Amino acid sequence: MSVFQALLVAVVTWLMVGFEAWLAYPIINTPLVLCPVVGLIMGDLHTGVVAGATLQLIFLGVMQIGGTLPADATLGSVFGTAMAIALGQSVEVAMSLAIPVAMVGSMFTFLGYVVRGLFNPWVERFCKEGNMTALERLHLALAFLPELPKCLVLFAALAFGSGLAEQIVSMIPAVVTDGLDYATGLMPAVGIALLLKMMWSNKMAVYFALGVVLVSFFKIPMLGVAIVGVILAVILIMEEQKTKSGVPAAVAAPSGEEDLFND
Amino acid sequence: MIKERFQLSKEDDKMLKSVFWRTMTLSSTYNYEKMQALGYIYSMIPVIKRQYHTKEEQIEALQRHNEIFNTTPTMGSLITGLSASMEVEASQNPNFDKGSINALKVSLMGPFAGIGDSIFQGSLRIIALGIGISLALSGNVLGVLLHLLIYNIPAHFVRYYGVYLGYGLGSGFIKKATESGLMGYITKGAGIVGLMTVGAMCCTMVSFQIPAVVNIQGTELALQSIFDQIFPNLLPILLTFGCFKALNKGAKPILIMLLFMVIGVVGKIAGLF
Repeated sequence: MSVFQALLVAVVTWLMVGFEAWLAYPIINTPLVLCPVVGLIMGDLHTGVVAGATLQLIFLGVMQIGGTLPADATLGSVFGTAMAIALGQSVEVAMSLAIPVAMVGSMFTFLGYVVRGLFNPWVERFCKEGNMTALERLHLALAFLPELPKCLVLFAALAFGSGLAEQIVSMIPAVVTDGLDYATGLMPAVGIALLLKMMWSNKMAVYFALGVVLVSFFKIPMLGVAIVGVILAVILIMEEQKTKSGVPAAVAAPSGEEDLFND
Repeated sequence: MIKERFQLSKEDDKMLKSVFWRTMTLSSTYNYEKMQALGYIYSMIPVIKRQYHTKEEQIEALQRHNEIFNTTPTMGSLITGLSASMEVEASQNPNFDKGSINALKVSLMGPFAGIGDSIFQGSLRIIALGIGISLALSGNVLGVLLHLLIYNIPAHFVRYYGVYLGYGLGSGFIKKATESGLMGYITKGAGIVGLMTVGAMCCTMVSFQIPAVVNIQGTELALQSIFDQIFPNLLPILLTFGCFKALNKGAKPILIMLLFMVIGVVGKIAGLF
């Protein structure tokens, strides 16, 4: 890969990670979104999209949920995808490069939180002085600059590490890549189990079963399952309101946020 | 619609738009000590600039908001909107208890983070991911776009109107919302759709075959087809529940993933799969 491509990948990663926090988490720093962008830069959108979906499934289990420190799925996925495309390798190679990098990358996330904390005395001083312009500038700088070291490392690894990565990849015997390919089918179970752990209650288990049955026996695609879910939720809530208030529920059906507050 | 209902002036609207944009950045300078304090100050600056004209008052207000704060940025705009309305009142009414501004912030951040996490992180994000991944796995770019739209359209609605709701309805609105049971309904509805999606994901995204063949009295039977006849996707469901149990017992996710990689490679070497 050319140095220019490496630079472009690193800068785009930096901006997307920065704007993820700057724009109230629009989920643009996920492998599913980042890898296609990397694919576009590297000239292979299709591999980017497939690698993004595969890595997203694998990293589903280690993504940040409610303030825990994640393995840095972003850094790993970008590096793995860019390298795999540059070396003309498959999605399994992207995965086997992504996982170790992700585990190293989580250190940078921790570092970012610590570095930002070091500037708290500055915040205090600017407040005391009533210097609002300085506060605004500090906020902007602290939002984007602590993400920069991570992306510099990414740039260096992409621009100058492809020889080493190629050596490592060529050393992996075919049986290992095949084995990892089999493992990509197993690994989403971890992420899905983590989601279940977060959402599970015995009362709600029946809805999990409904999702399973809709797919297993009726072969309904994911979008269809979600639509059935929304319809079911609306029906159930309307029924619940009816039994609670004794008036026809249609009047109070959820039709929009601000209407509901209006009694 | 919402602006007419609360009879906001042009200047109010301008201030609240600015608060909305700034609240988006709430978590971008997160740190372990004060969490989103700097982001909160940043969000309140347009209000402070407009309402307080002496340096002393401005400094007092800035220092007031330099306190630990942490909530889901998506829901944060409801709280900054509410703070804005209280700051406006405080600047006009000398008897206003300014301590109540922070008291309300602190009392709301926990419940809001809980509701926001369960609706946006726990359900909507999962639904968006489930639909997005299922399309993208076959190389369809539409999956990526759909994933972004499904999550961001409802989330943006809450981010944007949150400021106006918080400002216009004032502190009474939280009481109203809880009394009408609205929050409970939304959380429950999101939970239903979320769990159904997870069930569907479990069947479509965990995929492996067992090629083993058993020999029963001379007839060869593929194990996989037996499982498929009993219940399609039985094995992925069992594997997922196995992981669920292991995680509940305190197993580390990354260790289970490494174990799967080892199983895959060892299985290939032994010729099992």
